[in-house]
Amino acid sequence: MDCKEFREVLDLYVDRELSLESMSAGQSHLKGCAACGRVERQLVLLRNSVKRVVNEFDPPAELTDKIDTFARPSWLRLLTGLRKGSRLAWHKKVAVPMPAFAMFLIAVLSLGVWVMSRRTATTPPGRPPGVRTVTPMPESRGLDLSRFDRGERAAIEKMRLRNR
Amino acid sequence: MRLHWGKQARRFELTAVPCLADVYRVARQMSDENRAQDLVQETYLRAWKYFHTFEQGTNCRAWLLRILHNVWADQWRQPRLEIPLIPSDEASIEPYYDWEDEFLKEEFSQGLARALSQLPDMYRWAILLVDVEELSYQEAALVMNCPIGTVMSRINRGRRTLTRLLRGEAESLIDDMSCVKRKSQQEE
Repeated sequence: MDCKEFREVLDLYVDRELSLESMSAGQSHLKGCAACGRVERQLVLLRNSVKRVVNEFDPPAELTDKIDTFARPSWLRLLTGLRKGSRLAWHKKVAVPMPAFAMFLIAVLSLGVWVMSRRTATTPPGRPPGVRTVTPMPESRGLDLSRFDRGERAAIEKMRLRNR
Repeated sequence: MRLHWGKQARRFELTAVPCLADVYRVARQMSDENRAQDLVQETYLRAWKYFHTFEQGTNCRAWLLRILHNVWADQWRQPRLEIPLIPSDEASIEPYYDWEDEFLKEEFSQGLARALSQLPDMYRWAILLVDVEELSYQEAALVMNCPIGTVMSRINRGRRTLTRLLRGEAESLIDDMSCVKRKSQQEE
């Protein structure tokens, strides 16, 4: 590879877009040609300088926050920790999760009301809540039924027979 | 309240959001600060809307830059006075520049920034995508929606134009430095 050929593919060489064979030929040429070596170094220097100049700009924090809300809503960001550097007013810190807490509270209250309504439905009228109601068994016809319960039904049956 | 926090949202946060700085820097070079923020927001809105079309494992940064390029081309490209393009002379391959390396130090970064802003849009896109974002020629061709040969041509001409602009900046800097030196000598 001579100087003319090397200068023609200089961009491709610096950008690593040449084939392995051509890259190797270019490296061999640079070893023996100071002028082409200098041009190659200056092009690399230009690239690095452009990169340095462009990378001086950082995105502003407000833009970063806006982009974050696309995937994560603000209430979730607050629960998982605020993003470093973001500034949120205190009233927004308190106000944002309020709808979530309100929904949670409503769900808990609804559950409590449902449980209470189920308790009052199983208690017969006139009897205080919490007292077990024992349904009298049909006639036992002399059979000992105490082994089928804790003795309550058998006791009631005996009382009934005694009172006859 | 619609909940966005799902699998796709998590992937978006891990894949696309970290590329924000790179997207912003390119947008900043193609427009002023206010428009750059609008460009980036519109880019990410579209990216979020079409994130289901993004293939996992591919270059997300290149994908976002392609969206940015489309947004810029659709909405923000404005007609501006561009430097007339000098047809390249294939017979004479001139060196990029001859000055000493000291001209690319910190004090010259303003000149470089000015020269970059004066580049024609298409050359600037090529320089930003390949030199700054280090995309391959193939990826840059996909971003700019042009053949790979066009990318190569734009990079080559963009670098030469940038060099010419920098040479003008360097010569004016040399003149300024010479004036300052002469004035100080006269005062002595």
